[in-house]
Amino acid sequence: MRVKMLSRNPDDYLRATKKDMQRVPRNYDSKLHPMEAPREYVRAMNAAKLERVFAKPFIASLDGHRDGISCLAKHPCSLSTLLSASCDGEVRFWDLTRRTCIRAIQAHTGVTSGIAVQPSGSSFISVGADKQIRRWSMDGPVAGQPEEPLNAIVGKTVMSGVDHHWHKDLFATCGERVDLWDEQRSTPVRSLCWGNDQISCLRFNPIETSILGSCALDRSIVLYDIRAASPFTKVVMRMRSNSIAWNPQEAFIFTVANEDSRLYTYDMRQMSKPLNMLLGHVAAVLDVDYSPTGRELTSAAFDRTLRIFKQDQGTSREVYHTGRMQHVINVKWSLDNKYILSGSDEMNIRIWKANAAEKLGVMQPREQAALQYSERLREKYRHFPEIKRVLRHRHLPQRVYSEARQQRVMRTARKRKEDNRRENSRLGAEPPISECRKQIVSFEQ
Amino acid sequence: MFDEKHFHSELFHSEHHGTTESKPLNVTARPPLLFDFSDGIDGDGQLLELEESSGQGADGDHDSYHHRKLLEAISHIDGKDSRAVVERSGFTGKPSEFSVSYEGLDEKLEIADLLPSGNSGGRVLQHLQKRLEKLVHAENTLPAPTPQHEVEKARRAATYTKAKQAVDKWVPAVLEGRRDVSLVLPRGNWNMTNDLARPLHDVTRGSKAKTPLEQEVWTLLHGTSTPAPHSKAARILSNAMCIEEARARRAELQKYRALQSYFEAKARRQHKIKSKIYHRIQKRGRVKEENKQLEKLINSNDPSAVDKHFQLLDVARIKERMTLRHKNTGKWAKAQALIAKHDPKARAELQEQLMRSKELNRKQLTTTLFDDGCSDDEIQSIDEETKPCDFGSSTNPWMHTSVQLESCATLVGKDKKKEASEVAEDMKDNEELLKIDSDDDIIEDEQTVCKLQVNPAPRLAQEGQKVFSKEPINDFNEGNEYCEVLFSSCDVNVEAFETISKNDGIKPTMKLSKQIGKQNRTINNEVQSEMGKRKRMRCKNKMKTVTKNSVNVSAKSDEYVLEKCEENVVPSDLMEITTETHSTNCKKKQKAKAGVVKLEHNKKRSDLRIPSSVVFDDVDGEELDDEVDLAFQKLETVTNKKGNTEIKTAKRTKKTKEKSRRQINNKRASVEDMERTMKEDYALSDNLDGEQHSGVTHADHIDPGQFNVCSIFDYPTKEHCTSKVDHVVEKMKAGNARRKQVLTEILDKDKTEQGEGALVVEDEWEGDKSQRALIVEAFSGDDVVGDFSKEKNAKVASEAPQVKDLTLPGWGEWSGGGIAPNPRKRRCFTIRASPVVPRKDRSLPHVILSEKRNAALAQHQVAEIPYPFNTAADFEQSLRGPLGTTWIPSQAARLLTQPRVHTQMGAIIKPMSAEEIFGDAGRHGD
Repeated sequence: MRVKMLSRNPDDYLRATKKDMQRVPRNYDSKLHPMEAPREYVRAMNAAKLERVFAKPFIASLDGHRDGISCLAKHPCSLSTLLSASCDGEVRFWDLTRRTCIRAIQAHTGVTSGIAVQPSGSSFISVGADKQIRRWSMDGPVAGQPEEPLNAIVGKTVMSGVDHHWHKDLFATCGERVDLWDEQRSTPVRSLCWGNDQISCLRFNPIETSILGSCALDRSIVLYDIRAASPFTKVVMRMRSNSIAWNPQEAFIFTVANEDSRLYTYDMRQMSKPLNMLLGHVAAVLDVDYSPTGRELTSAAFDRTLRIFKQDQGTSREVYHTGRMQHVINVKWSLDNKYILSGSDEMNIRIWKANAAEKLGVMQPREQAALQYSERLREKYRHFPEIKRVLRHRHLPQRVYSEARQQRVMRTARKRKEDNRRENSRLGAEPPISECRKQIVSFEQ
Repeated sequence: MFDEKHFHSELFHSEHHGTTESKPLNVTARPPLLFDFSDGIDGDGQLLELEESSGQGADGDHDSYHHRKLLEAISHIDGKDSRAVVERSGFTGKPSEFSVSYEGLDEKLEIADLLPSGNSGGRVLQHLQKRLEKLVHAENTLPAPTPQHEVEKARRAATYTKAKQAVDKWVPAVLEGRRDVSLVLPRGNWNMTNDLARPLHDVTRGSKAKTPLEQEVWTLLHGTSTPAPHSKAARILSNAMCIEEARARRAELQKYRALQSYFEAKARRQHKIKSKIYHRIQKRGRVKEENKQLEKLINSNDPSAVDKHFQLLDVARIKERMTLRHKNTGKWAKAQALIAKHDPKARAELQEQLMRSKELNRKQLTTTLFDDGCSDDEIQSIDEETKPCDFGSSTNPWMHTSVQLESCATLVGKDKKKEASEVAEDMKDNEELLKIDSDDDIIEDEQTVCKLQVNPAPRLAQEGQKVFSKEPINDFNEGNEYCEVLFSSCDVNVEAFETISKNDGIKPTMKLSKQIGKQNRTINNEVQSEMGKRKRMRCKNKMKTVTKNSVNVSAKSDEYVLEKCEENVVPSDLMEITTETHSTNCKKKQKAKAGVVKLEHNKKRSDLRIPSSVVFDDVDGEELDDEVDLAFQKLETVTNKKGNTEIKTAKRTKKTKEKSRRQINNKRASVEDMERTMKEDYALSDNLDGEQHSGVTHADHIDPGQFNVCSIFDYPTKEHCTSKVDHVVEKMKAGNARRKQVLTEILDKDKTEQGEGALVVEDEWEGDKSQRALIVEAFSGDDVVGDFSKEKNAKVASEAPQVKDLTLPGWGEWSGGGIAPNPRKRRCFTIRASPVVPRKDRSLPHVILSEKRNAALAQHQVAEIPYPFNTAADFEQSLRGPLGTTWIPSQAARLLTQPRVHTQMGAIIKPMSAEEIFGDAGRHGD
């Protein structure tokens, strides 16, 4: 009997250097690894289930305020710092890593309605119900000295919000009108107004920084250009918008949080109709903030939940709630895209993970690769009914659940009625109008 | 045409009543008109002219005027209109612009009326007239001021357009961001230290110590009362030096620079000098200096410094070893090597270089020894020890290494050709010398040959001392070394052959045969050349042992090589030889005396392998000399021929291996039998030969690790020897002829069988068959196919439509023993089988196709095409490729599974900025 010797080329199994990767002989012949789709389906199913198992988004709660949180502000240079103001006028600094309050200032008498941090992070501006604009240093006074603002301006009207220009030493306040202030002056550089109602929210565009967006109590959304010294677009919706947020990666996209429990995304250039309508909440949406990647956004609502939406999808991908959390007034997405911070009526600030099942901390490359693989598998098989069911499954409080069901019923009833009307009327007399367009009462340019 | 009157009336109308109607007004024309009027009124001469012209114009209208006055008077009789008509009482030729009124006039006052007629006026007046005409005829009227809300709207539109333009430039970047399969944020180069999350105090105040506590900590840590100033100016100030210091420093620097340039210039100058003598002198000086320093070091009684120096030297040596300097690999050395053949000077230079290399590479041990006070003798002895043996060129620096085996081999290889002709003569000389020695000695030596393998060195040394007491010991030692080397190399061959012969592995044998043939030749040559050297030393018995051993070894190995290929083709020879050996054995019994050393197989194959079958005639008879000479002459000639033919045969044998293999197998049995019989014969002869000293020594595997001698020493008589030699010569001649014949035969066979390869194929098939048989054997118990068909049949039977009999015997009728159920009822309650639908797998014997729908699977299946896809094919396409490393390479998997958004832990992601997207050009000033 002939002996057939095995002879292998050392290049096939030896590494050239020590630092090379270990060669693992692998035969990719598909006959040796059959049933790829079914096996990947099972893996996707497991990944979906595991994702739900590991979804523990709540991290911490910061308590210390003695009244409901009125506003939150991120520090532009320090991820671990958060500023919050409450309805009793107090402003607190939080160290998020240690989850402690590092400083507290009684900034205003009455509600502190807005805080804005300077882009350099060295000071911040607060406005309050006492008609004052105060500028505070970010590092506190010398030990033993009382907290005093760097300067204070007494305005003519009550101001309901403030935002700082992204690059320049300018900031804008809103109240009866929008005032543009230079940090060096005690009178507004410019006043902008369209309509006579109170303006509730104001935000500078982070990319095209001379553009301002605002929401007013007269249900309008108004955009301004501070260079042209005038507003240029106004949209009046069916219900008022509570907050506005610009997409930090797309210069012309912004989203408003509406009182009708939805959020509307607009293209600044074509505001006659919202681009997208984000459904999910069952009560007024009070605040909205974009993730720094610009692909997702989070919203806080009166229904005591937070929701996370993908910008290009109509429904939320995540809903956060806890038993004790009351109406969520404010929400912020942290600048490293990892956390969500929410302030609510019951005086607490909560830290959430932006991706509920994400593992925080250092990961081995293998682990990382495995997680990425399972994520992509979930994405690939997300349309399969069983996987979809697992992935969509969320626990909701009873009231939210029933409210959502009720609203769904109402919506379908309305739709059915419209359809009936259309069917029973002359052709073309009742043209179908998209739900988005229905929300627009008037549009002016 | 523009209506002048109309214009006029409008102008004044608006003046009087101040309406805000939005009628088109020529705003630009208005102020200059008034101004011109006032201009025209200045100056007395002009007014006179006006008078004249108006007087002329008033004459024609006189009647109508009075008529109008009358009519007006009548109309105002009732006295209702209290307002009096403005009228001048006295006649005047110049109408005043202040009291101009068209009240009561039925035609409007025209501007032209206020001016004198065209030609009559002066220059100024003419000018005025022209301007007036221009104004009157101008068409551009001012629009009415836009209402505020309209203005604002327009402004908003403009602002909107601008803002839209501003954001439109971001569209490509935004779209790209949306399209990105994997968005990496933060973009561009962000600084890990600056951009990573920092605590608030670090961001706001850096490392400033502010509170008293912090300041105290700072003082403790840094020793100064306050932290170092942070501002740039402060740092510059603190680092500044006074002017005197600066000057001193500058002067110093200048001095150094001058010195440096001076040394550089000197070095350059020296470098340019081509004189070798100069450089040599320089070098000598340098060396002297170094030596001096070394001496100083040694005298200074500072062992650490000396150590350091030697370490440095050692490092230099290591470096030298690492480089190719003095290794004669350079361009110059190669050129020199080319001419070295003819130029002794060049050769000397090359050697000097090599010597230098050796010297530099040598460990500095001698110096230390010298320093320690060793005697010269000791050093000498060390040198001698390290010195190579004296064969080959004594000046060859390569020979100064300790690796003598290598050198020996190479040397032999080199000198082989030269000395090939001398070998025979040398050997002859040896034999002559050997003849002088006494018989006893020789016998003793030969006895030692067998024992040599066990422990050759001491024994040889003893003998050497005994026989040649004058010879230095180390010569013997050297000799032993060489013997060992040779033997070991022979050992290798022999062992290899043994293994091969045991395994009967033809293929490797054939491969090796070439190689081994060569080796044997070299060994022979080695032995011969060595003997040439040894002649001078007169180490005769040593030589003999060496030659004998080597001859034995080579004979043995050669025999194995050729056995494989030629055994089959020379059976008749074999037969002859065996008979011959028998006869020799018989003779041997009678005349046992020391003499011819030979091997059984050598004898057999003396015709084929002449050098291996070297027959040493140690018999002291003078008459044998001629015969031996003759034999050696033959040997020479045959060796030369053999050099060529052997290679050929090696090649041929390789080709014919397959064919010869079977035959060999057959033949081998017979050969082995023959051998066996021969051995028996020898044993017999041993027993019989009691009086002999050693008689026949059959040393089989004396030391398996060392050497395998299968030699039989035979001591035939003088006469027999001569006959033997004669026979050998005859055999040689015959063998040559025979060999040629064999070769031609082999070639013919080759030719006939070329291209067929049937045997090879058969062999392969045999291998397959065996494999198959193996598998069949392994799975002999399993009837997979049968089992499957059974299973399928069962399945088919179970799934076939069946008749259901639902009759309940005894239901509705009598029952009991002997009562058959009613056939009508049975027919009623029997459900007939549905018609048989042909199975889909009816023509597939190895497949079971189940046509039942699996309900459990349905819930995992997608019912309708999901949103982004339009067709089922699109959706299926999206699911087609696998993602895991089980199916695709890890690199591809990594690419496919990379996250949609890739962010850095703890890195702040800033909004899209113009600098990132458009570079510096995108920086805008807003």
